[in-house]
Amino acid sequence: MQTTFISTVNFLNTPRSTMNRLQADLDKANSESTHDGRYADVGLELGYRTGLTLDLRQGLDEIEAQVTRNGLTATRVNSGYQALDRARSDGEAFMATLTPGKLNDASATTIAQAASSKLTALIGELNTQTGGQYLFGGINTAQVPVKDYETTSGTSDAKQAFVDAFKAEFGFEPGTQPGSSTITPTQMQEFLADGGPFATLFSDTAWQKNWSRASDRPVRSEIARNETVNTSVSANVQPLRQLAMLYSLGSSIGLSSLSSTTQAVVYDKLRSLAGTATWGVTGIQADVGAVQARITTIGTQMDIQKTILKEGVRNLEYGDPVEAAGRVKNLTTQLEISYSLTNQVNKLSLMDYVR
Amino acid sequence: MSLSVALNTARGSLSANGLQTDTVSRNVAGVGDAAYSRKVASLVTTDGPVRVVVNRVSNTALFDKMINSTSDLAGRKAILDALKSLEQTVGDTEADGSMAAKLSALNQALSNAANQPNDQNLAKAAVAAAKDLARAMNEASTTVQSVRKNADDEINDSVVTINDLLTQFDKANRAVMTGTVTGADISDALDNRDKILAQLSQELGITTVVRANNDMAIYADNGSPLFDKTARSVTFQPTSVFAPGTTGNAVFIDGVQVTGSKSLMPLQTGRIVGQMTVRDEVTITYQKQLDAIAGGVISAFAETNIDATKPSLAGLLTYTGGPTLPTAGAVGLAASIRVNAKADPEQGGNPFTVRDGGMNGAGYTYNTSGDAAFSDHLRALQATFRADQSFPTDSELPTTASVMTAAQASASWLEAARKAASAQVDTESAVLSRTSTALSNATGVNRDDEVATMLQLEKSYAASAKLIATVNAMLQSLLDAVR
Repeated sequence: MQTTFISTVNFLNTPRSTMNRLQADLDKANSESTHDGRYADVGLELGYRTGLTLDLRQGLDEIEAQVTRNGLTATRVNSGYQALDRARSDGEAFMATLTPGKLNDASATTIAQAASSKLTALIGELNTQTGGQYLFGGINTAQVPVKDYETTSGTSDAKQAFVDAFKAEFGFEPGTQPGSSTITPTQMQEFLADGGPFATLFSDTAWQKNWSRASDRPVRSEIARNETVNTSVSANVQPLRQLAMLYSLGSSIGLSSLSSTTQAVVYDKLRSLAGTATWGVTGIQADVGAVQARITTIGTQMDIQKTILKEGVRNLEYGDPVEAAGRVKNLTTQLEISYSLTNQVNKLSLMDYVR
Repeated sequence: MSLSVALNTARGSLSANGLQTDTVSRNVAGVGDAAYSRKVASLVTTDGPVRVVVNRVSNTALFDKMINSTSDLAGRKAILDALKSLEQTVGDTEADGSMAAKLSALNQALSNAANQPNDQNLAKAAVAAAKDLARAMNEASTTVQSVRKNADDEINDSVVTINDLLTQFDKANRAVMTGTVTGADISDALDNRDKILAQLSQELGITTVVRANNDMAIYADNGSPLFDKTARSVTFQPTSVFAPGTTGNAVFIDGVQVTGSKSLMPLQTGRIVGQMTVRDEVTITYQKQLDAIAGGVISAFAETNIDATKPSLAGLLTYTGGPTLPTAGAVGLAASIRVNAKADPEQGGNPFTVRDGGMNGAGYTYNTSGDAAFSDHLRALQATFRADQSFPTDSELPTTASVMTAAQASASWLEAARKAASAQVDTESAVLSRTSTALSNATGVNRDDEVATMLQLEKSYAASAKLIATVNAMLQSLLDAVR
């Protein structure tokens, strides 16, 4: 009567049967411990949570791409800010030359020359370009935003328009004697008055026609998800237009040909224009500065967010590398035992003991 | 009692001994064969000399359990293998090969282009990312269909194997019946028959009934007779080409449909059932998900008419039926989704149409003034890309979600299915291994046991021989006395 029975197949195979599984497990544990604890088959390990890790990774990619984009945006905004800064300080310097006490009979020529060179400088600033984009072109970044006032051949549209307006008002071109010296202060006031012929030269339509190719719409950039800000200034904004008004008036009205009382009227106008324009530019600079600050703040926030997301991916896709290393050791021992047992069991046979 | 009777008995014992030794050597020969069941030569004492009856050790309960778990495992393995193939379309999360990752890359490319709309390289990069996404979807769709085709082929192979096995079974069954009637040793014939059953159980779940004269009938696990006196034919018409929307054929046993929704009592387990699940359920759902996501992307990039007088038309991504937008639940979108030639520089298109619109003509151009840094349309595209869309319920995707979330959900669905299938295979493997061990222990051969039996036989042979010699000596001394 037999109470226990084991077939030879089982007897010989039992120590070996676990070998396949042990080897597969060892392979997995090896891969985990060499990859800093990252699961050998992440999809199998996570199951329905695979979408979660994909989402986190997508978030990480998005933040990294956004940080790169914000770097480019910041460059553009900073360049714009610098250009505005130079335009403003030029304006303030010009205003300083107009201080009443400093003016004398010789001032007229100096001021006209200064105005002319500053106008060229202003146009230069407004035509600043970074990364293939004209900074002050609004969304029309591909075309030079402001046309040159002083041209080497012929007369620019803007200058011609001024000359035409002057001629229509006074009957002769600016700087022409003897007419110029006979212009009375009242006549000049009328010409320069708000809504007068001079102001009309800088109306929206006239500005777009004679001066600017820029679009009114500023470039808008997404600096964070769903946060879009203006990241450029159009050359069409009022303060910049006023600067152009200021310099073109100073350079083209023929200051030195006017009587001193009429000159005073022009000086008054120049001072008031310079004041409003530089103040306006300061305002714009403040807006741009706010965007700069916002980009910096967002950068810091994104760094924090990146750390959180990385942590999330780690928590999902990574196990404990130390545990994996321990598992490797354990499995190796088990496998060795299995090998040794297989060998020993195979040697056992009753035949060796009966003779 | 006379000396001659004693001599006869000893002779009978010698021949019984020979039969028993034969059984031992058969058993030893069968040590390595898992399907071999131990033969037991038992002595039956009749009026005169002893007789040997050879029986085989069997355990019907364990055997039935073994073939059941074989069927179960074969089915689950088929599903797991298919899911592994499908998993290529997701890949390692780190490798960014999944559709969700490609969608994310496209989203990044769009954001980059929106940040510097005047840069042609960024516009080109956005088109390239869209192309990459379209290609990934095409490939995923091809993978799904090749998995279906593969499953269909496997079903066909299975059916051929079943028919072949049933023919073999017919012979084996006849041998058993004839042996039973003539009273011959049928143990090897029974082994042979069981072996065929074990093979059959891999293809489909079976139950068996033994009737008079050891005649066996086989029924599939839904009750259809596979073998009853004669083999019943199992038929299947394979499909040569699979495309999204292709419906494969069902398996019939004796003219009765046993798979698919039209079957009143479908098969439950076995490789056939596993492959049917792959061909008609898993892959169909996954294809639906791919198509739904493809449709979602196409409509997210659609160009809307400026005056809303004309319908929206396909934009950056289109499909074979474009530019009309696909209807909800359209089939095969993932297979035919592609980048609009009007935007693809490689096909002579203008990548800036992504920024300006106008792939469908004047009424769809948004950047009317031709500004280089026009970003409104790109931002609008991003917004629709992130916006929620509705997905068909039978795709098992969230009913309302963004395309991105849907792609992630699809990856989750697939990996969850794989995880579950893998766990089931592990469990079922353990059960099968345990049952096989138990069955082998119950019916297998122990070599040492056989050697010990052989030693016993050796001794009893020696005893019988000695007995003959002794009787011979006694008779001799009697003869000597009478001389």
